[in-house]
Amino acid sequence: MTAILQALASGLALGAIYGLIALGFNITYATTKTFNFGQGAFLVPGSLVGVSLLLLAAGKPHWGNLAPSEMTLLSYGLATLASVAIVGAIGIVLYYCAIKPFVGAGGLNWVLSTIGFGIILQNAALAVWGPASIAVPSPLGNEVWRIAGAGIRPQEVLIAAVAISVMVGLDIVIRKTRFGKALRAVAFNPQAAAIVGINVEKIVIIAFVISSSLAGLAGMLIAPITTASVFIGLGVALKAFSAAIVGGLTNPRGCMLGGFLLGLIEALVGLWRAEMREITIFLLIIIVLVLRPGGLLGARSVEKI
Amino acid sequence: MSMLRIEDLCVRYGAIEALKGISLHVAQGEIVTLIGGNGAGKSTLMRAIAGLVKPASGTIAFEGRPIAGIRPHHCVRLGIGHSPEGRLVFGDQSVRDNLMLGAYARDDTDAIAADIDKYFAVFPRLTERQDQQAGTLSGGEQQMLAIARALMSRPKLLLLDEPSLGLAPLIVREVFAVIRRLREQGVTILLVEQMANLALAVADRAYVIETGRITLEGTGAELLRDERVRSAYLGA
Ligand SMILES: Nc1ncnc2c1ncn2[C@@H]1O[C@H](COP(=O)(O)OP(=O)(O)O)[C@@H](O)[C@H]1O
Ligand SMILES: [Mg+2]
Repeated sequence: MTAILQALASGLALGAIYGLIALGFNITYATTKTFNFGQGAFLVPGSLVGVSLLLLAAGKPHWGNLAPSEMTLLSYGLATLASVAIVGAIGIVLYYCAIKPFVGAGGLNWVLSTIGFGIILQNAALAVWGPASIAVPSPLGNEVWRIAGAGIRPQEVLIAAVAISVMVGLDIVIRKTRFGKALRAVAFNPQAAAIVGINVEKIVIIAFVISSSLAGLAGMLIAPITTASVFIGLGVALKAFSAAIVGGLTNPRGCMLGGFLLGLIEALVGLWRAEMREITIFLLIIIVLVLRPGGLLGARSVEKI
Repeated sequence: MSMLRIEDLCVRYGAIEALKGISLHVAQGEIVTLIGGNGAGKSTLMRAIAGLVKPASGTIAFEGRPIAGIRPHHCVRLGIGHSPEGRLVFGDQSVRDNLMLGAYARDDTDAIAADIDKYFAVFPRLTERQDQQAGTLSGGEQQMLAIARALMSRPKLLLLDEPSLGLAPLIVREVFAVIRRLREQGVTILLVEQMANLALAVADRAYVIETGRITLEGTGAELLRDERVRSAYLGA
Protein backbone atom coordinates (compact mmCIF):
# COMPACT_ATOMS: atom_id res chain seq x y z
CA MET A 1 0.00 0.00 0.00
CA THR A 2 2.72 2.48 0.94
CA ALA A 3 4.62 1.35 -2.14
CA ILE A 4 1.60 2.15 -4.27
CA LEU A 5 1.28 5.58 -2.67
CA GLN A 6 4.95 6.20 -3.37
CA ALA A 7 4.56 5.10 -6.96
CA LEU A 8 1.51 7.34 -7.36
CA ALA A 9 3.52 10.35 -6.21
CA SER A 10 6.38 9.52 -8.57
CA GLY A 11 3.95 8.87 -11.41
CA LEU A 12 2.17 12.15 -10.81
CA ALA A 13 5.44 14.08 -10.88
CA LEU A 14 6.70 12.27 -13.97
CA GLY A 15 3.31 12.66 -15.64
CA ALA A 16 3.34 16.39 -14.90
CA ILE A 17 6.70 16.66 -16.67
CA TYR A 18 5.39 14.73 -19.69
CA GLY A 19 2.23 16.85 -19.67
CA LEU A 20 4.20 20.11 -19.70
CA ILE A 21 6.27 19.07 -22.68
CA ALA A 22 3.26 17.55 -24.46
CA LEU A 23 1.36 20.83 -24.02
CA GLY A 24 4.26 22.51 -25.81
CA PHE A 25 3.84 20.10 -28.72
CA ASN A 26 0.14 20.94 -28.84
CA ILE A 27 0.59 24.70 -28.90
CA THR A 28 2.88 24.77 -31.92
CA TYR A 29 1.10 21.92 -33.69
CA ALA A 30 -2.24 23.69 -33.39
CA THR A 31 -0.90 26.91 -34.90
CA THR A 32 1.52 25.60 -37.54
CA LYS A 33 0.93 21.84 -37.92
CA THR A 34 4.57 21.46 -36.91
CA PHE A 35 6.39 20.93 -33.64
CA ASN A 36 9.91 20.56 -32.41
CA PHE A 37 11.04 16.98 -32.92
CA GLY A 38 14.26 17.94 -31.17
CA GLN A 39 12.41 19.09 -28.05
CA GLY A 40 14.43 16.70 -25.86
CA ALA A 41 17.53 18.80 -26.46
CA PHE A 42 15.72 21.84 -25.04
CA LEU A 43 15.60 20.21 -21.60
CA VAL A 44 19.39 20.27 -21.60
CA PRO A 45 19.99 24.05 -21.44
CA GLY A 46 16.85 24.14 -19.29
CA SER A 47 18.65 22.30 -16.52
CA LEU A 48 22.31 23.10 -17.20
CA VAL A 49 21.92 26.88 -17.54
CA GLY A 50 19.96 27.04 -14.29
CA VAL A 51 22.39 24.82 -12.41
CA SER A 52 25.39 26.75 -13.73
CA LEU A 53 23.84 30.02 -12.59
CA LEU A 54 23.47 28.54 -9.11
CA LEU A 55 27.08 27.28 -9.19
CA LEU A 56 28.41 30.65 -10.34
CA ALA A 57 26.38 32.37 -7.62
CA ALA A 58 28.07 30.03 -5.12
CA GLY A 59 31.48 31.14 -6.44
CA LYS A 60 32.23 27.85 -8.22
CA PRO A 61 33.00 27.12 -11.88
CA HIS A 62 29.95 26.62 -14.10
CA TRP A 63 30.16 22.83 -13.88
CA GLY A 64 30.70 20.65 -10.86
CA ASN A 65 28.38 19.38 -8.20
CA LEU A 66 26.00 21.61 -6.31
CA ALA A 67 25.75 21.19 -2.55
CA PRO A 68 22.37 21.48 -0.82
CA SER A 69 23.67 24.43 1.20
CA GLU A 70 24.39 26.33 -2.01
CA MET A 71 20.74 26.59 -2.97
CA THR A 72 17.56 28.00 -1.49
CA LEU A 73 14.01 27.74 -2.80
CA LEU A 74 14.32 31.38 -3.87
CA SER A 75 17.62 30.98 -5.74
CA TYR A 76 16.35 27.80 -7.40
CA GLY A 77 13.21 29.69 -8.43
CA LEU A 78 15.20 32.60 -9.88
CA ALA A 79 17.58 30.25 -11.70
CA THR A 80 14.53 28.44 -13.11
CA LEU A 81 13.04 31.70 -14.38
CA ALA A 82 16.34 32.61 -16.04
CA SER A 83 16.57 29.16 -17.65
CA VAL A 84 13.01 29.33 -18.90
CA ALA A 85 13.64 32.77 -20.41
CA ILE A 86 16.84 31.63 -22.15
CA VAL A 87 15.29 28.44 -23.54
CA GLY A 88 12.26 30.50 -24.63
CA ALA A 89 14.62 32.77 -26.56
CA ILE A 90 16.22 29.71 -28.17
CA GLY A 91 12.67 28.92 -29.34
CA ILE A 92 12.72 32.11 -31.43
CA VAL A 93 15.96 30.99 -33.08
CA LEU A 94 14.40 27.56 -33.66
CA TYR A 95 11.43 29.19 -35.38
CA TYR A 96 13.52 31.26 -37.77
CA CYS A 97 16.06 28.50 -38.55
CA ALA A 98 14.05 25.30 -38.55
CA ILE A 99 10.35 26.15 -38.94
CA LYS A 100 9.83 29.33 -40.94
CA PRO A 101 11.72 28.16 -44.06
CA PHE A 102 9.52 25.04 -44.27
CA VAL A 103 6.15 25.79 -42.72
CA GLY A 104 3.17 25.71 -45.07
CA ALA A 105 5.34 24.30 -47.87
CA GLY A 106 4.09 20.77 -47.21
CA GLY A 107 6.53 17.92 -46.87
CA LEU A 108 8.45 16.80 -43.84
CA ASN A 109 11.52 19.01 -44.07
CA TRP A 110 10.58 20.58 -40.72
CA VAL A 111 10.91 17.17 -39.05
CA LEU A 112 14.54 16.87 -40.05
CA SER A 113 15.30 20.56 -39.50
CA THR A 114 13.99 20.46 -35.92
CA ILE A 115 15.81 17.22 -35.15
CA GLY A 116 18.96 18.79 -36.61
CA PHE A 117 18.52 21.95 -34.55
CA GLY A 118 18.19 19.80 -31.42
CA ILE A 119 21.37 17.88 -32.24
CA ILE A 120 23.26 21.13 -32.75
CA LEU A 121 21.94 22.45 -29.45
CA GLN A 122 22.87 19.25 -27.62
CA ASN A 123 26.39 19.25 -29.05
CA ALA A 124 26.85 22.91 -28.21
CA ALA A 125 25.90 22.00 -24.64
CA LEU A 126 28.37 19.13 -24.74
CA ALA A 127 31.12 21.59 -25.68
CA VAL A 128 30.21 23.90 -22.80
CA TRP A 129 29.43 21.38 -20.05
CA GLY A 130 31.07 18.13 -21.11
CA PRO A 131 29.50 14.68 -20.83
CA ALA A 132 29.51 14.26 -17.04
CA SER A 133 26.27 14.61 -15.14
CA ILE A 134 25.88 17.17 -12.36
CA ALA A 135 24.14 16.14 -9.15
CA VAL A 136 21.51 18.70 -8.23
CA PRO A 137 19.89 18.78 -4.79
CA SER A 138 16.22 19.57 -4.41
CA PRO A 139 15.57 23.05 -3.05
CA LEU A 140 13.16 21.39 -0.62
CA GLY A 141 15.92 19.07 0.64
CA ASN A 142 16.73 15.49 -0.27
CA GLU A 143 15.25 14.00 2.91
CA VAL A 144 12.13 11.98 2.00
CA TRP A 145 8.87 13.13 3.55
CA ARG A 146 6.86 10.51 5.45
CA ILE A 147 3.24 10.81 4.38
CA ALA A 148 0.84 8.05 5.51
CA GLY A 149 3.82 5.78 5.94
CA ALA A 150 5.05 6.32 2.40
CA GLY A 151 8.35 8.00 1.65
CA ILE A 152 7.77 10.81 -0.80
CA ARG A 153 10.56 12.80 -2.38
CA PRO A 154 10.02 16.52 -1.84
CA GLN A 155 11.15 17.32 -5.40
CA GLU A 156 8.25 15.20 -6.68
CA VAL A 157 5.84 17.37 -4.75
CA LEU A 158 7.52 20.50 -6.07
CA ILE A 159 7.38 19.21 -9.66
CA ALA A 160 3.70 18.33 -9.40
CA ALA A 161 2.82 21.66 -7.76
CA VAL A 162 4.72 23.83 -10.24
CA ALA A 163 3.79 21.86 -13.34
CA ILE A 164 0.11 21.61 -12.45
CA SER A 165 -0.03 25.36 -11.69
CA VAL A 166 1.59 26.16 -15.01
CA MET A 167 -0.78 23.83 -16.86
CA VAL A 168 -3.89 25.25 -15.18
CA GLY A 169 -2.60 28.76 -15.85
CA LEU A 170 -1.98 28.06 -19.53
CA ASP A 171 -5.35 26.36 -19.86
CA ILE A 172 -7.02 29.52 -18.56
CA VAL A 173 -4.89 31.74 -20.80
CA ILE A 174 -5.80 29.67 -23.87
CA ARG A 175 -9.52 29.67 -23.13
CA LYS A 176 -10.14 33.09 -21.61
CA THR A 177 -7.65 35.74 -22.67
CA ARG A 178 -7.44 37.85 -25.80
CA PHE A 179 -4.11 36.20 -26.61
CA GLY A 180 -5.59 32.72 -26.11
CA LYS A 181 -8.52 33.50 -28.37
CA ALA A 182 -6.15 34.81 -31.04
CA LEU A 183 -4.03 31.66 -30.66
CA ARG A 184 -7.11 29.49 -31.16
CA ALA A 185 -8.19 31.63 -34.12
CA VAL A 186 -4.80 31.04 -35.77
CA ALA A 187 -5.13 27.33 -34.97
CA PHE A 188 -8.61 27.24 -36.52
CA ASN A 189 -7.65 29.02 -39.73
CA PRO A 190 -4.60 31.29 -40.15
CA GLN A 191 -6.12 33.24 -43.04
CA ALA A 192 -9.33 33.94 -41.13
CA ALA A 193 -7.17 35.08 -38.21
CA ALA A 194 -5.14 37.37 -40.46
CA ILE A 195 -8.20 39.14 -41.88
CA VAL A 196 -9.47 40.13 -38.45
CA GLY A 197 -6.13 41.82 -37.83
CA ILE A 198 -4.16 39.16 -35.98
CA ASN A 199 -0.43 39.14 -36.78
CA VAL A 200 -0.28 35.42 -37.40
CA GLU A 201 3.50 35.14 -37.43
CA LYS A 202 3.76 36.90 -34.08
CA ILE A 203 1.32 34.43 -32.53
CA VAL A 204 3.26 31.53 -34.02
CA ILE A 205 6.55 32.83 -32.62
CA ILE A 206 4.97 33.20 -29.18
CA ALA A 207 3.72 29.61 -29.50
CA PHE A 208 7.30 28.41 -30.11
CA VAL A 209 8.56 30.50 -27.20
CA ILE A 210 5.94 28.95 -24.90
CA SER A 211 6.67 25.45 -26.17
CA SER A 212 10.42 25.86 -25.69
CA SER A 213 10.00 27.49 -22.27
CA LEU A 214 7.90 24.54 -21.13
CA ALA A 215 10.70 22.16 -22.13
CA GLY A 216 13.21 24.37 -20.32
CA LEU A 217 11.05 24.38 -17.21
CA ALA A 218 10.73 20.60 -17.40
CA GLY A 219 14.53 20.29 -17.58
CA MET A 220 15.06 22.40 -14.48
CA LEU A 221 12.28 20.66 -12.53
CA ILE A 222 13.50 17.18 -13.30
CA ALA A 223 17.22 17.84 -12.72
CA PRO A 224 17.16 17.07 -8.96
CA ILE A 225 15.67 13.65 -9.83
CA THR A 226 17.65 12.65 -12.91
CA THR A 227 20.76 14.84 -12.39
CA ALA A 228 21.56 17.49 -14.98
CA SER A 229 23.38 16.35 -18.09
CA VAL A 230 23.53 16.66 -21.83
CA PHE A 231 21.77 13.31 -22.17
CA ILE A 232 18.66 13.69 -20.00
CA GLY A 233 16.23 15.01 -22.57
CA LEU A 234 15.74 12.42 -25.27
CA GLY A 235 13.88 9.71 -23.35
CA VAL A 236 11.68 12.20 -21.53
CA ALA A 237 10.73 14.00 -24.73
CA LEU A 238 9.90 10.72 -26.46
CA LYS A 239 7.49 9.87 -23.64
CA ALA A 240 6.03 13.38 -23.79
CA PHE A 241 5.56 12.99 -27.53
CA SER A 242 3.79 9.69 -26.93
CA ALA A 243 1.66 11.39 -24.28
CA ALA A 244 0.61 14.06 -26.77
CA ILE A 245 -0.32 11.49 -29.39
CA VAL A 246 -2.22 9.31 -26.90
CA GLY A 247 -4.08 12.23 -25.36
CA GLY A 248 -4.72 13.96 -28.69
CA LEU A 249 -2.15 16.27 -30.25
CA THR A 250 -4.89 18.71 -31.27
CA ASN A 251 -6.28 19.13 -27.76
CA PRO A 252 -4.30 20.86 -24.98
CA ARG A 253 -6.23 19.09 -22.25
CA GLY A 254 -5.74 15.80 -24.05
CA CYS A 255 -1.98 16.36 -24.05
CA MET A 256 -1.94 17.03 -20.31
CA LEU A 257 -4.15 14.02 -19.66
CA GLY A 258 -1.86 11.86 -21.81
CA GLY A 259 1.12 13.03 -19.77
CA PHE A 260 -0.42 12.05 -16.44
CA LEU A 261 -1.65 8.72 -17.81
CA LEU A 262 1.79 7.77 -19.07
CA GLY A 263 3.55 8.92 -15.91
CA LEU A 264 1.19 6.99 -13.64
CA ILE A 265 1.24 3.82 -15.73
CA GLU A 266 5.02 3.96 -15.91
CA ALA A 267 5.38 4.30 -12.15
CA LEU A 268 2.76 1.69 -11.25
CA VAL A 269 3.98 -0.93 -13.71
CA GLY A 270 7.56 -0.22 -12.61
CA LEU A 271 6.49 -1.17 -9.12
CA TRP A 272 5.51 -4.59 -10.36
CA ARG A 273 8.26 -5.34 -12.86
CA ALA A 274 10.61 -2.64 -14.03
CA GLU A 275 11.36 -4.37 -17.31
CA MET A 276 7.64 -4.43 -18.20
CA ARG A 277 7.37 -0.63 -17.98
CA GLU A 278 8.21 0.38 -21.52
CA ILE A 279 6.55 -2.71 -23.02
CA THR A 280 3.25 -1.95 -21.26
CA ILE A 281 3.33 1.74 -22.14
CA PHE A 282 4.01 1.31 -25.81
CA LEU A 283 1.54 -1.59 -26.12
CA LEU A 284 -1.12 0.61 -24.52
CA ILE A 285 -0.26 3.45 -26.87
CA ILE A 286 -0.75 1.20 -29.87
CA ILE A 287 -4.08 -0.09 -28.53
CA VAL A 288 -5.34 3.45 -27.85
CA LEU A 289 -4.33 4.61 -31.31
CA VAL A 290 -6.04 1.68 -33.00
CA LEU A 291 -9.26 2.42 -31.11
CA ARG A 292 -9.01 6.21 -31.29
CA PRO A 293 -6.69 7.31 -34.08
CA GLY A 294 -6.88 10.97 -33.04
CA GLY A 295 -5.96 10.19 -29.42
CA LEU A 296 -8.21 10.09 -26.37
CA LEU A 297 -9.42 13.70 -26.59
CA GLY A 298 -8.37 14.52 -30.15
CA ALA A 299 -11.25 15.60 -32.34
CA ARG A 300 -9.99 14.53 -35.71
CA SER A 301 -7.53 11.90 -36.70
CA VAL A 302 -4.02 13.27 -36.63
CA GLU A 303 -2.21 14.00 -39.88
CA LYS A 304 0.12 11.18 -40.87
CA ILE A 305 3.71 12.11 -40.21
CA MET B 1 -10.46 60.71 -55.05
CA SER B 2 -11.25 57.01 -55.18
CA MET B 3 -11.16 55.11 -51.95
CA LEU B 4 -9.71 52.11 -53.80
CA ARG B 5 -7.85 52.26 -57.10
CA ILE B 6 -6.35 49.19 -58.72
CA GLU B 7 -4.14 49.44 -61.81
CA ASP B 8 -3.02 46.60 -64.02
CA LEU B 9 -3.01 44.03 -61.21
CA CYS B 10 -1.57 40.59 -61.92
CA VAL B 11 -1.65 37.70 -59.47
CA ARG B 12 -0.27 34.24 -60.05
CA TYR B 13 -0.46 30.98 -58.15
CA GLY B 14 2.67 29.23 -59.35
CA ALA B 15 2.12 28.71 -63.06
CA ILE B 16 -1.56 29.77 -62.95
CA GLU B 17 -2.19 33.39 -63.89
CA ALA B 18 -5.34 34.17 -61.89
CA LEU B 19 -5.45 37.94 -62.58
CA LYS B 20 -4.06 39.26 -65.86
CA GLY B 21 -4.05 43.03 -65.53
CA ILE B 22 -7.11 44.18 -63.60
CA SER B 23 -7.90 47.88 -63.26
CA LEU B 24 -10.85 49.16 -61.28
CA HIS B 25 -11.80 51.76 -58.72
CA VAL B 26 -14.31 52.19 -55.91
CA ALA B 27 -15.37 55.64 -54.70
CA GLN B 28 -16.29 56.54 -51.12
CA GLY B 29 -19.85 55.44 -50.28
CA GLU B 30 -20.31 53.30 -53.40
CA ILE B 31 -21.44 49.72 -53.71
CA VAL B 32 -19.47 48.16 -56.52
CA THR B 33 -20.13 44.60 -57.58
CA LEU B 34 -17.94 42.15 -59.39
CA ILE B 35 -19.67 39.42 -61.34
CA GLY B 36 -18.17 36.52 -63.22
CA GLY B 37 -18.18 32.75 -63.43
CA ASN B 38 -16.41 30.24 -61.26
CA GLY B 39 -12.65 30.58 -61.39
CA ALA B 40 -12.79 34.02 -63.04
CA GLY B 41 -10.54 35.47 -60.34
CA LYS B 42 -13.04 37.32 -58.14
CA SER B 43 -11.88 35.88 -54.84
CA THR B 44 -8.26 36.29 -55.84
CA LEU B 45 -8.89 40.00 -56.38
CA MET B 46 -10.53 40.29 -52.94
CA ARG B 47 -7.67 38.38 -51.35
CA ALA B 48 -5.11 40.64 -53.00
CA ILE B 49 -6.87 43.74 -51.65
CA ALA B 50 -6.99 42.19 -48.16
CA GLY B 51 -3.29 41.30 -48.29
CA LEU B 52 -3.78 37.53 -48.35
CA VAL B 53 -2.00 37.08 -51.68
CA LYS B 54 0.93 39.09 -53.00
CA PRO B 55 0.45 40.54 -56.49
CA ALA B 56 3.04 39.68 -59.13
CA SER B 57 2.72 43.20 -60.54
CA GLY B 58 0.42 46.21 -60.63
CA THR B 59 -0.70 48.61 -57.93
CA ILE B 60 -3.42 48.76 -55.30
CA ALA B 61 -3.97 52.16 -53.74
CA PHE B 62 -6.23 52.57 -50.72
CA GLU B 63 -7.03 56.20 -49.88
CA GLY B 64 -4.12 57.14 -52.10
CA ARG B 65 -1.63 54.93 -50.28
CA PRO B 66 -0.02 51.97 -52.08
CA ILE B 67 -0.90 48.75 -50.24
CA ALA B 68 -0.04 45.96 -52.70
CA GLY B 69 1.93 43.27 -50.87
CA ILE B 70 1.45 44.51 -47.31
CA ARG B 71 0.39 41.92 -44.75
CA PRO B 72 -3.31 41.36 -43.97
CA HIS B 73 -3.21 42.53 -40.35
CA HIS B 74 -1.95 45.90 -41.61
CA CYS B 75 -4.72 46.08 -44.22
CA VAL B 76 -7.29 45.69 -41.43
CA ARG B 77 -5.72 48.56 -39.52
CA LEU B 78 -5.87 50.78 -42.62
CA GLY B 79 -9.64 50.18 -42.81
CA ILE B 80 -10.25 47.15 -45.04
CA GLY B 81 -12.74 44.59 -43.69
CA HIS B 82 -13.05 41.21 -45.40
CA SER B 83 -15.94 38.77 -45.19
CA PRO B 84 -14.32 35.91 -47.10
CA GLU B 85 -15.80 33.31 -49.41
CA GLY B 86 -16.88 30.32 -47.34
CA ARG B 87 -17.31 32.62 -44.31
CA LEU B 88 -14.47 31.15 -42.24
CA VAL B 89 -16.01 31.99 -38.87
CA PHE B 90 -14.02 30.64 -35.91
CA GLY B 91 -16.10 27.50 -35.46
CA ASP B 92 -14.73 26.49 -32.06
CA GLN B 93 -15.34 29.88 -30.44
CA SER B 94 -18.56 31.53 -29.34
CA VAL B 95 -20.47 33.99 -31.49
CA ARG B 96 -19.59 36.76 -29.07
CA ASP B 97 -15.88 35.85 -29.15
CA ASN B 98 -15.97 35.85 -32.95
CA LEU B 99 -17.21 39.43 -32.81
CA MET B 100 -14.58 40.33 -30.21
CA LEU B 101 -11.92 38.89 -32.49
CA GLY B 102 -13.35 40.99 -35.32
CA ALA B 103 -12.29 44.01 -33.27
CA TYR B 104 -8.80 42.59 -32.64
CA ALA B 105 -7.13 45.56 -34.32
CA ARG B 106 -8.96 48.05 -32.07
CA ASP B 107 -8.24 48.97 -28.48
CA ASP B 108 -11.25 51.16 -27.61
CA THR B 109 -12.84 48.60 -25.26
CA ASP B 110 -16.01 50.57 -24.50
CA ALA B 111 -16.77 51.29 -28.14
CA ILE B 112 -16.15 47.62 -28.98
CA ALA B 113 -18.80 46.55 -26.47
CA ALA B 114 -21.18 49.14 -27.94
CA ASP B 115 -20.52 47.87 -31.47
CA ILE B 116 -21.24 44.29 -30.42
CA ASP B 117 -24.62 45.44 -29.08
CA LYS B 118 -25.17 47.37 -32.29
CA TYR B 119 -24.62 44.32 -34.49
CA PHE B 120 -26.70 42.15 -32.18
CA ALA B 121 -29.49 44.63 -32.91
CA VAL B 122 -28.86 44.37 -36.67
CA PHE B 123 -28.67 40.55 -36.52
CA PRO B 124 -31.12 39.50 -33.79
CA ARG B 125 -30.51 35.81 -34.44
CA LEU B 126 -26.89 36.22 -33.43
CA THR B 127 -28.04 37.66 -30.11
CA GLU B 128 -29.95 34.50 -29.26
CA ARG B 129 -26.91 32.42 -30.11
CA GLN B 130 -24.18 34.63 -28.67
CA ASP B 131 -22.80 31.95 -26.33
CA GLN B 132 -23.08 29.15 -28.87
CA GLN B 133 -20.04 27.92 -30.79
CA ALA B 134 -20.02 29.54 -34.23
CA GLY B 135 -19.57 26.15 -35.89
CA THR B 136 -23.04 25.10 -34.70
CA LEU B 137 -24.80 27.98 -36.50
CA SER B 138 -26.75 27.51 -39.73
CA GLY B 139 -25.17 28.68 -42.97
CA GLY B 140 -27.20 31.88 -43.00
CA GLU B 141 -26.32 32.67 -39.41
CA GLN B 142 -22.63 32.03 -40.09
CA GLN B 143 -22.84 34.44 -43.04
CA MET B 144 -24.40 37.13 -40.84
CA LEU B 145 -21.64 36.49 -38.30
CA ALA B 146 -18.91 36.74 -40.94
CA ILE B 147 -20.32 40.10 -42.09
CA ALA B 148 -20.70 41.37 -38.53
CA ARG B 149 -17.19 40.17 -37.66
CA ALA B 150 -15.77 42.12 -40.63
CA LEU B 151 -17.76 45.22 -39.58
CA MET B 152 -16.36 44.99 -36.03
CA SER B 153 -13.05 46.38 -37.32
CA ARG B 154 -14.99 49.52 -38.37
CA PRO B 155 -13.81 49.22 -41.96
CA LYS B 156 -13.95 52.08 -44.42
CA LEU B 157 -14.16 49.50 -47.20
CA LEU B 158 -16.00 46.21 -46.77
CA LEU B 159 -15.11 43.29 -49.05
CA LEU B 160 -18.02 40.84 -49.30
CA ASP B 161 -17.14 37.64 -51.13
CA GLU B 162 -20.21 35.62 -52.18
CA PRO B 163 -22.38 36.34 -49.15
CA SER B 164 -25.27 34.35 -50.65
CA LEU B 165 -23.21 31.20 -51.29
CA GLY B 166 -25.14 28.09 -50.26
CA LEU B 167 -28.02 29.99 -48.65
CA ALA B 168 -31.75 29.42 -49.06
CA PRO B 169 -33.52 32.11 -51.16
CA LEU B 170 -35.26 33.58 -48.13
CA ILE B 171 -31.95 33.99 -46.32
CA VAL B 172 -30.34 35.47 -49.42
CA ARG B 173 -32.99 38.18 -49.38
CA GLU B 174 -32.15 38.91 -45.74
CA VAL B 175 -28.46 39.22 -46.59
CA PHE B 176 -29.22 41.71 -49.35
CA ALA B 177 -31.47 43.69 -47.01
CA VAL B 178 -28.45 43.98 -44.70
CA ILE B 179 -26.27 45.16 -47.59
CA ARG B 180 -28.79 47.91 -48.40
CA ARG B 181 -28.87 48.92 -44.75
CA LEU B 182 -25.06 49.15 -44.68
CA ARG B 183 -25.13 51.38 -47.73
CA GLU B 184 -27.55 53.74 -45.97
CA GLN B 185 -25.00 53.93 -43.16
CA GLY B 186 -22.36 54.99 -45.67
CA VAL B 187 -20.22 51.86 -45.71
CA THR B 188 -18.31 51.49 -48.98
CA ILE B 189 -18.70 47.95 -50.32
CA LEU B 190 -17.01 45.80 -52.94
CA LEU B 191 -19.37 42.88 -53.48
CA VAL B 192 -18.64 39.62 -55.29
CA GLU B 193 -21.76 37.67 -56.17
CA GLN B 194 -22.95 34.72 -58.20
CA MET B 195 -26.53 36.02 -57.89
CA ALA B 196 -25.86 38.63 -60.56
CA ASN B 197 -29.41 39.98 -60.75
CA LEU B 198 -29.56 40.76 -57.03
CA ALA B 199 -26.03 42.17 -57.00
CA LEU B 200 -26.59 44.43 -60.01
CA ALA B 201 -29.84 45.68 -58.52
CA VAL B 202 -28.13 46.81 -55.33
CA ALA B 203 -24.90 48.10 -56.91
CA ASP B 204 -24.06 51.61 -58.05
CA ARG B 205 -21.53 50.27 -60.51
CA ALA B 206 -20.38 46.86 -61.65
CA TYR B 207 -17.55 45.06 -63.40
CA VAL B 208 -17.68 41.77 -65.25
CA ILE B 209 -14.57 39.64 -64.83
CA GLU B 210 -13.71 36.70 -67.08
CA THR B 211 -10.58 34.53 -66.73
CA GLY B 212 -8.63 37.21 -64.92
CA ARG B 213 -9.64 40.21 -67.03
CA ILE B 214 -12.33 42.90 -66.78
CA THR B 215 -14.51 42.55 -69.85
CA LEU B 216 -17.34 44.99 -69.12
CA GLU B 217 -18.13 47.80 -66.77
CA GLY B 218 -21.01 50.17 -66.18
CA THR B 219 -23.70 51.14 -63.72
CA GLY B 220 -25.71 48.35 -62.16
CA ALA B 221 -28.73 49.35 -64.23
CA GLU B 222 -26.71 49.39 -67.48
CA LEU B 223 -25.35 45.89 -66.95
CA LEU B 224 -28.77 44.56 -65.96
CA ARG B 225 -29.96 45.59 -69.46
CA ASP B 226 -26.80 44.44 -71.27
CA GLU B 227 -27.49 41.56 -73.67
CA ARG B 228 -24.16 39.80 -72.99
CA VAL B 229 -24.65 40.00 -69.24
CA ARG B 230 -28.24 38.84 -69.54
CA SER B 231 -27.34 35.74 -71.51
CA ALA B 232 -24.17 34.84 -69.58
CA TYR B 233 -25.12 35.67 -65.98
CA LEU B 234 -28.84 36.32 -65.70
CA GLY B 235 -30.05 33.20 -67.48
CA ALA B 236 -32.23 35.27 -69.83
N1 LIG C 1 -4.71 28.76 -53.67
C1 LIG C 1 -4.73 28.58 -55.00
N2 LIG C 1 -3.75 27.86 -55.60
C2 LIG C 1 -3.74 27.67 -56.93
N3 LIG C 1 -4.67 28.16 -57.75
C3 LIG C 1 -5.68 28.88 -57.24
C4 LIG C 1 -5.76 29.12 -55.83
N4 LIG C 1 -6.85 29.86 -55.59
C5 LIG C 1 -7.44 30.06 -56.79
N5 LIG C 1 -6.73 29.48 -57.78
C6 LIG C 1 -7.05 29.52 -59.22
O1 LIG C 1 -7.12 30.88 -59.61
C7 LIG C 1 -8.20 31.10 -60.47
C8 LIG C 1 -9.13 32.13 -59.88
O2 LIG C 1 -9.76 31.59 -58.72
P1 LIG C 1 -10.72 32.45 -57.79
O3 LIG C 1 -10.10 33.78 -57.57
O4 LIG C 1 -11.03 31.65 -56.60
O5 LIG C 1 -11.99 32.60 -58.73
P2 LIG C 1 -13.50 32.99 -58.38
O6 LIG C 1 -13.53 33.54 -57.00
O7 LIG C 1 -13.87 33.98 -59.40
O8 LIG C 1 -14.30 31.74 -58.50
C9 LIG C 1 -8.84 29.74 -60.70
O9 LIG C 1 -8.30 29.18 -61.88
C10 LIG C 1 -8.41 28.94 -59.49
O10 LIG C 1 -8.33 27.57 -59.82
MG1 LIG D 1 -14.59 32.94 -55.38
